[in-house]
Amino acid sequence: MADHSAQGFSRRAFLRTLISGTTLSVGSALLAACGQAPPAAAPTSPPADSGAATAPTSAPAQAADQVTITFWKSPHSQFEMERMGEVIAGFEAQNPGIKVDHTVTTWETWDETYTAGFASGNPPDVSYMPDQFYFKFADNGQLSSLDSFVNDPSYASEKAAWFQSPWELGNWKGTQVGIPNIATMFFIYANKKLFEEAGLDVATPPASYVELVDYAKKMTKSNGEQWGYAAMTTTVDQGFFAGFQYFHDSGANFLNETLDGPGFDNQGGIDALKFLASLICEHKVQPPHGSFNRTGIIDLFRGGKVAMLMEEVSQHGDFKKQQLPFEYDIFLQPPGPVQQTSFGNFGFFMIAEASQKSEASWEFIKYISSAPVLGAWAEQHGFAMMRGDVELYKDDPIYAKAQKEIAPKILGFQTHPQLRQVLNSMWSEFEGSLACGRPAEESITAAADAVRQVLA
Amino acid sequence: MQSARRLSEAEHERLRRRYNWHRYRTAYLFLLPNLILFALFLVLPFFWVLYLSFHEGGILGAPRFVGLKNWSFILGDKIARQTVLNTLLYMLLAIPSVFLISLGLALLLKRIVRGSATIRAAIYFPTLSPIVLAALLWIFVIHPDFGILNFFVRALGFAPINWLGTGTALPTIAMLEVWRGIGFWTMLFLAALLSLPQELYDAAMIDGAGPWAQFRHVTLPLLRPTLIFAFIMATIWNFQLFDSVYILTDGGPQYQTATVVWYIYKNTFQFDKPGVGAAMSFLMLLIIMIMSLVQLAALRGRR
Repeated sequence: MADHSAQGFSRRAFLRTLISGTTLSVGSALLAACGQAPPAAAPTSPPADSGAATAPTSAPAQAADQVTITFWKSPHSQFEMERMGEVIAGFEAQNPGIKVDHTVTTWETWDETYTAGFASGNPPDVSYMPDQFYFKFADNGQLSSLDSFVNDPSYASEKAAWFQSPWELGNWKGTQVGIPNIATMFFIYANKKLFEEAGLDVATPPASYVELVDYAKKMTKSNGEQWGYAAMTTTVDQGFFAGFQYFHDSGANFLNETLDGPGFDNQGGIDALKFLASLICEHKVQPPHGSFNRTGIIDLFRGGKVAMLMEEVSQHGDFKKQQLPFEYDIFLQPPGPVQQTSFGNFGFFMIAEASQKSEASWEFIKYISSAPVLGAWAEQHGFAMMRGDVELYKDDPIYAKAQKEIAPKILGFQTHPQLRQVLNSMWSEFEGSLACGRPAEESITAAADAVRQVLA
Repeated sequence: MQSARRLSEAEHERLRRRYNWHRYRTAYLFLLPNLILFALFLVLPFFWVLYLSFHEGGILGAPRFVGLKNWSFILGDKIARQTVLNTLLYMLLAIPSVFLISLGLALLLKRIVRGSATIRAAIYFPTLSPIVLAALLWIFVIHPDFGILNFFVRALGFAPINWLGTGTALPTIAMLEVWRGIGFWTMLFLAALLSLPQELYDAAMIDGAGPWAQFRHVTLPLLRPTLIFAFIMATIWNFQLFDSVYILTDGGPQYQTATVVWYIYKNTFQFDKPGVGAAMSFLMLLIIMIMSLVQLAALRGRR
């Protein structure tokens, strides 16, 4: 009988396997985690033609001196390439000296793509960044100051057209680094049929939290057959988008006014979390935390199994395409003890600090964020526009209502380089109460401690 | 008649080196491209990440030396501790399960002659499916209303389970990964089983050994080298659980599915703390090495 054990791993062979295996695995994990780019030295001086160093000009570059700028943006629809292609074609026709090299980046790999792009020292000249994503780039000096452009008298009327809150959110520590684009906002979609069946009228939305619970109870059936209220609540779905308006309205915020501590560890924060958890745990008018993902919750509404759905404005476009078998209306959640807001966020156009083509880039940003171009883009995608000089959605009463009545009430994020970690830490702790596992007070305390550790 | 000149030690050494060089240079030349890639994409990043673990920033901004700050942070960080525990718990759930099922399937497949290629392809299919597709598919499997798992739960008279809720999310992810891994491990075990000499089984049968005795005293001892390899590789791979967590739960609820690599990713790319991510990477290396050595000692000790 052969000694098959001798075919096994010798100690040396094992160690070789182990070392190469672990080196490979850790190496690949490290590669994945840290990219392959050398560290980018902090820019010490602006590029030769950066906006900060050069007087702005509104004249487009001349065709004789053709400039190509790179532009990265993640999609707002499956038709991003075609729709943005049309925008770019319009821009290039007006600016024959500038060509735009457009890349559609994916949302799923947004962090890796943009981090590697900027770390490589060869970032896109123009990028589109949602607010909470841009903070770390601004904090590391990767975004160019747009002050000289936006303070130029020729831009004064444009600047005045923007709503104040998104404009301010594009300002990083006193420097304008982003020009607002579109905005999203969350509000309640109400199924008219279910309202009527319960003897309620969508034209008279709940006026208080007590009334909201009362409405939801009337429209909830047992065994999960029908829910009075539904909203995404998990960290993976970024549940704060559908829940933080209750905190804002109760006088809480992500961070305090000086941005050096949590802003939700107060009675307002406790009351808001208590209320959100009560919808799931006490009143049982909302599906249990984590039982459905965001798509699942939206599907429930589409299937007529949810009476009130807290969702994003752009969802209306999908509902229209899907031709729901019932009518619906929209309204904001009832006012809280302090205010009534819609939670939303904004997208911005930025110029990279490393860009050598900031003037051409600015021409492109000016064009793409101008009222006619951006208005058409917002309408195509069902977003709100944060300018007061455009009337959108003339033929769509839902969108028109959202744009006119809700958009001005959007309250978004605060600017802080650690905001994404704050959001993650905070909401992960809130999940303890949303999953009915502990009282709101405990979750608020745990979340506040976690946020303090992040900010330390 | 001339006597042969005796070579000096130095000449002997020179000739030996020349001989070796002529003998091995082709092999080294063939290895060179791979070694260059290995150095560029694994060895250099390895030291780069070690460097980062003693710094703040370093990816988007200039690195600032902070000494052992990142290391002391991860050692005292509640979430870092939980990610290690979650990962270990996940491995305890996933590795024994996938090995038991795969070995069972491999033993069955060894006996099947007709249609075995089709069955093997069907078993291997989940391994080929991209994680995004697998995760989407599992969203339907675990759907509270019409998911197949809750269909059975309801059929047994129980209330439907929230499969990504508190206490269930990590086992659900383990189930998904077991489903994805079965194909690979079954093929590995099947290949090992098919290579075992038939005469040993014949001899065992003559000695009166039944199927269980054959498995216990012939198959398992002969599979030991494969099992050692499988345990070590499964440990290394499963400790790096990331994609299904990232897609299905993003570490939630309440960090119950947060894994080590998930936390490395979060710190490096989303929280702008590459130094913490780098220190966690080395902590992971240390844990994997210790676990692999313990496994080796345990498995070799039973030979």
